[in-house]
Amino acid sequence: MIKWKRSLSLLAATALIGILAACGGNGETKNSADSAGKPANNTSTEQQAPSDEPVKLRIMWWGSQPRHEATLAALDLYTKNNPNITFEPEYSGMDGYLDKLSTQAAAKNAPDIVQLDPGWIPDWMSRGQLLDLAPEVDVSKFDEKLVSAGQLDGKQYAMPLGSVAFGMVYDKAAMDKLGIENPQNGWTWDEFFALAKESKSKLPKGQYFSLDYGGNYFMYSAYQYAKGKGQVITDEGHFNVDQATFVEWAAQFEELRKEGLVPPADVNASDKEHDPQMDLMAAGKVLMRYSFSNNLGTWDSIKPGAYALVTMPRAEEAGGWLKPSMFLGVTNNSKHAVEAKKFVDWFVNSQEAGDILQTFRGLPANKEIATALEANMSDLDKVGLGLLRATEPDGQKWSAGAGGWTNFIDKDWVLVRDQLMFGKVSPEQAFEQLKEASQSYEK
Amino acid sequence: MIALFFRYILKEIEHCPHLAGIVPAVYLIYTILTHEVTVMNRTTAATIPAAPETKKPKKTKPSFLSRWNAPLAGYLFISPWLIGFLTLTAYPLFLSLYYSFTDYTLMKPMEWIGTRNYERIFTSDPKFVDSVKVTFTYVLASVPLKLIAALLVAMVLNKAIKGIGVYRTAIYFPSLIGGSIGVSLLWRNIFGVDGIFNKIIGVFGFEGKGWITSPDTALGTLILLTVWQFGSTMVIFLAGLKQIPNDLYEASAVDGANKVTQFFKITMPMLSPILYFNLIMGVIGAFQMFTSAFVITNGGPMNATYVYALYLYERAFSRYELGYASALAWIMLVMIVLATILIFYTSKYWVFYETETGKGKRK
Repeated sequence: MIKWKRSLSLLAATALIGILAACGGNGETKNSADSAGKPANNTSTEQQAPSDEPVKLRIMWWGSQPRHEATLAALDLYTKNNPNITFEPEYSGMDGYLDKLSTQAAAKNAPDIVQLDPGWIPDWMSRGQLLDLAPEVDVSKFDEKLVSAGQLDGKQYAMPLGSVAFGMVYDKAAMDKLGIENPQNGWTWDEFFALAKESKSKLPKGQYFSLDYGGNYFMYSAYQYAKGKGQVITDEGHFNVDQATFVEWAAQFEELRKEGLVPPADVNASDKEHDPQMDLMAAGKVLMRYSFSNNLGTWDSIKPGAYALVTMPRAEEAGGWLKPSMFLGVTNNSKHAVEAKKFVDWFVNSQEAGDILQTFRGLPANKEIATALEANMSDLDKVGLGLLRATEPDGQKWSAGAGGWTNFIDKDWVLVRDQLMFGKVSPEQAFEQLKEASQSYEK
Repeated sequence: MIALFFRYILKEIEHCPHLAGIVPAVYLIYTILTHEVTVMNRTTAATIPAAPETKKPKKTKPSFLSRWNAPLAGYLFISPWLIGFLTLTAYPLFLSLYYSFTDYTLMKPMEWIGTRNYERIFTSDPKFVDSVKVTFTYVLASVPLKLIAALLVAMVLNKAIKGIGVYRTAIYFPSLIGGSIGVSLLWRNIFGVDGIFNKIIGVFGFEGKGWITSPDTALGTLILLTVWQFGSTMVIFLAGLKQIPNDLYEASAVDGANKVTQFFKITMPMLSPILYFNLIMGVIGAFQMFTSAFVITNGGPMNATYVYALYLYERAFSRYELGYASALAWIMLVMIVLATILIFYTSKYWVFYETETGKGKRK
């Protein structure tokens, strides 16, 4: 009996040890030496490899199919020009991208070149995860407003790739068919809610006016801006949600929810942007959702000719803004930093790269390339450019925001959003929860 | 009996290569422990009559050495595993224990902060409480369901039916692929708003909903996915069923026992050591549940599937609070150990060993 028992306990003990390898495995990046991380120190010493030595660069980006194809074509061209440089591309949709990248970065195994969302840049720079791009990368042809978001203490850590406008996309074909009036550039939030209510009688069962944005961080930001209450999280890193504005916003969507003008919570939660089957607008279930000006092409490839763009609704102030679409940076664990930076320079500054990459990352932030592209743009790109131009004059000033709040927006805000959507909390309670959750992020 | 048990295990491993690492571990710990027991007995026996204190170190040293000399060849044989264990498991393991007492992040130099991580977790971390609740719900629901499903299927597959090998393979198959990302994505499509499940119940006039995107049912769909992967548990049950001597059934049939009685009076007691093993493995596995919650629901909706490992992951890789996450990992370990001890403790009331027969312990 003892033997039996012992062998079983041993088995279990062994299994316990086994799991530790799995669950304890998160913290073991043994790199305390350089984790303290002033960036850029290790660039000059190691990377003086002769320029014709074969180098393989890892590069990672997110996007849709057209962007993948264009980027791969650009990589091929670069390899053709520089036969010693080859690439190991890792590309995917936006879903899970940051998770994957963060995990790799924590293990000091991030790709040499990474595409980053503007919102992540402050965190990445302050953690010392990016290398100073000087002197290889030329920033002289860039719009100062766009390029400055990739700077810290006078050093350029990331290059803006494009400029996009934040607005809305609507299913023009469906709205025309249902006899719902098309929104016009410069429309207001009052008109938005009025149009929603007007469409009630015209919408068939299973079709809704817009996505449920009652707890959506980005849409609420736009609303708070439009109401003249400023940033949701200030540049100094403070929680700045205006209580009255938030409650008003959430209550208006609560009403739409009750009237069946936005999808029920479980349907709304199943939405996956740009997925041909799971994107609720692509599936014909909603008429309208937010969009960046460069995304029209993706929807158009799902249902050609059906969609159009309109500015973000406004109130006292404009609701939309222009922002750098995304950045490209070189990570601090790159073993071929010089080659990587040279590639970044080519990617953002050469006309031949610009010709291939088109506007798949927004209107290029490099002014010369942008001008050259505008000359012979496709009709679709012109629509995107139209939104850009319509937003430009009085658009809100975009800011990368304070570092350290990414998780608040990605997790805490999302929880409150779900609770609002499923009707578990009132707008007032939702505000209190956000405020409470923000405490641990305050600077 | 131990040899028999190892045969079950090996059989299981044939089908399940990722378990292969367990075998040498079992051998190693078994040798060390049994050895320790004999050595301990020997030293106590030797030291108790020996009074002079000067002799003590002398006596311990040789016996300590002899303990290591004898199985040296054995340690050499297992050295490939042993090296892997020490460098890839033991070292990171203790490093994470160390990290759990620091504020290790990627942002600044590491500092020793004592038990502050643990204090924060237990006193001011609502997410910790939430994720523990979700995890316990998951464990309590998925483990018994999986065991029942596995046992039922094992009993069906224990019959001599033509082509049984094909059925066994087919039924085992989900376990090979079940943990993969692909199946997780498939699950999302099956139980989504427009998923095939809703279409099927729609035929019978029920109105479906987004099973994965509703907070009330999301965890249930994940539990179902786990239960569906009962294959390896089932194979172990099957091996156990095959070991039950047929005479017992024949004898009881002569005494007039029906199938139900046979199941409760013969099958269950004879199978209880196997059940015990599967229970422990199941509980340990369930506590670590991550993939499906991460891929299918990413913790949502409304944190309904926010399991502990997911929270740990978020702290470590979204917020880079690796020290804090290490502390969470160790708390998880302690929870698993406690759960396992609890099962150990109760086992004497319900686990029956054949070798105990005649000692008056038979139920």
